[in-house]
Amino acid sequence: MQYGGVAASLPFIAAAGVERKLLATPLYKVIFDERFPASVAFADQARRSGQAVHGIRGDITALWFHDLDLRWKQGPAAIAGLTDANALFCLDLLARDKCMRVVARTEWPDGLVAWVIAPRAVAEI
Amino acid sequence: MRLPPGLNQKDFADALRQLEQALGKEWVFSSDEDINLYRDSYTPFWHEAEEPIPSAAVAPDSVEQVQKVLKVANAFKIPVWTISAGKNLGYGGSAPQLSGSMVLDLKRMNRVLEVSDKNHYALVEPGVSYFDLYRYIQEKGLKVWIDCPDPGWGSLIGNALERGGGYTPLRDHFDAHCGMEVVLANGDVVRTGMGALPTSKTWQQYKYGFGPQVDGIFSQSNFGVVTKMGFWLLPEPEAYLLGNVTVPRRDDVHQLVEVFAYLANSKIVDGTTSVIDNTAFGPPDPQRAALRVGGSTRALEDYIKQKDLGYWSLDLPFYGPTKVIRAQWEHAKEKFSTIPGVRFRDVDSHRFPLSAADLAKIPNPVPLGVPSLTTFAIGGPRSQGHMWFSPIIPMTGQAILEAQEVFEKAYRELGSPEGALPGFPVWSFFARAFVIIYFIPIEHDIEKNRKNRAVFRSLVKTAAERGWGEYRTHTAFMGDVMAAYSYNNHALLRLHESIKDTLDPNGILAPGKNGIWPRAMRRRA
Repeated sequence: MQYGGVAASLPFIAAAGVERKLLATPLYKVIFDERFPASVAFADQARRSGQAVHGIRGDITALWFHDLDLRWKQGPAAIAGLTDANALFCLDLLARDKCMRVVARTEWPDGLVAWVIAPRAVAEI
Repeated sequence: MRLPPGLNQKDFADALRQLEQALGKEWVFSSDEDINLYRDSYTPFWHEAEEPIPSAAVAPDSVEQVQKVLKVANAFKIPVWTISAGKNLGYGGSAPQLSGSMVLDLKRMNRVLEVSDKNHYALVEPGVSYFDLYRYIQEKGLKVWIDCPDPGWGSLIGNALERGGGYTPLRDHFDAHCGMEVVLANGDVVRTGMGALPTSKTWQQYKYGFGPQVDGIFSQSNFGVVTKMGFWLLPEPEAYLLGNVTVPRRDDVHQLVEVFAYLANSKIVDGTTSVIDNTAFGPPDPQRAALRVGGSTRALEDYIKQKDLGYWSLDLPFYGPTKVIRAQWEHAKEKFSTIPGVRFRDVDSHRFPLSAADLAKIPNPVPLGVPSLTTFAIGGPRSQGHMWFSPIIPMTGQAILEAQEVFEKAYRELGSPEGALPGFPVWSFFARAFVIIYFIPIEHDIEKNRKNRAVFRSLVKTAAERGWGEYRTHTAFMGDVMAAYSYNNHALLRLHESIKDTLDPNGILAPGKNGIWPRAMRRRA
């Protein structure tokens, strides 16, 4: 499992104004949507900086059932991504059940959203 | 700090301290940041003062902790709004009916207590989602299916208590339950049906027990906190088959539905389907839109013929042994064949168990008992959320045509929320009657939301005048819908209120849920 600081791989965070609190946040995965070139590029950047990435095609069901649900049953773990708003909506609501929340959100062109979901403790730093 | 109604800051702080002692500080939430997570993601009161917002939330881990929460709530008269997974989107999400209520979040009570693939049942806690139970069954290799709603992230107990529906023969989720455990407002723990027998071996196998069956009063109600519930499961079928029937003319709907009702009530077809009006659905088409507003029936029939579609389309799902469901489909075709111009098509078929690779290829696995979130990835009307308008209508072609006429007229008079005439999908989630599930959008626009709330209320009244009542509704309209069930000067509501006053004299449990208010709040409501 590859953990690392968020800011190096996710420059949008500075624009969201939450860089300081997230600089030290370990990420479990970076989520991207294979249908959007910008999202693929985002994942490539994250991968180069040592982040584990996971691709979806709009639907988060497989990501949830085969990966995130299992990980989050062990305890909260931060994730970040560049996806459409529907995927973020699902992940946001699922994260709430694990005492996590969206702590950074930036609108991108083409209906995409860059975001970070992190445990309550991170949000309260 | 947001306060419960009627409570001062000092008393609320005292109550929160007692709750922290009972549950642990980390499971009592009162900061705005935490509380905001319990707001309705699809609130129709976006940026309006009427939006119901909780004062706090607590997440107990056990029946004993639920009892402690209710003890504190009774002592301080704090209204409590219970949620299981809080995913009741379109019907209010996790937000309370009454602003300032404290959310009783049962997500940590997420244990699968028992699954039998010999007698085909499960016993679960409220925090168990469809995904959780599906995973448990898959990991243990049990030969049973769950029945999931769409989407599958909700709680089995929450969905069943709200009388939600799925797709398989066990699609009526409340009807498929067998036995429950309930914590009453005074902390007493009741087990229903055979569960009242301390040595019972059949709690999840025989529903009735002895004496009055009380399970129903805990559904769509505020009479107790359900902490365990049994569900019947479907033995894994050998196969699944989906056939499709289309008929060419508008008036064919009468015979189409009459035959379907015969097949459904005979259990020859035993799964959810919908009667689709092909003139109302499909990609945007100006010609079709114009015909639906001002065109004749004949012109619409000709249009649909040019598209090589039937005017009406009906999928028929079959579950069971291959030979049996093939025979059922053949029998269904024979019955429908009396309709001139009827066409049949084999749509889909599977044998079970499916490999993971085969399952991954199925676009919508929900009718096969596999939970999914795919519905959120399907492009639909653009909005910031929605409310579901969902009246029950008779299972007749006449009722479908009448509902179309009545609701489309109402939309024209009120101004359609989407600027176009709606198609009303008609579903068979429940036996013997159809339910219309119609999407009314929510926007980040106060005026549009006000208008759409007015549209919703008008539709409720219009439906009631025709004898159609909602099977379930958004918290914003629970009073409106309950008011429509008014036979004999609201005798049913008065009975509910009598039960409420007896079981919950302090009125702490979900005030206003389904239009049922405790005595002290009744005049205000």
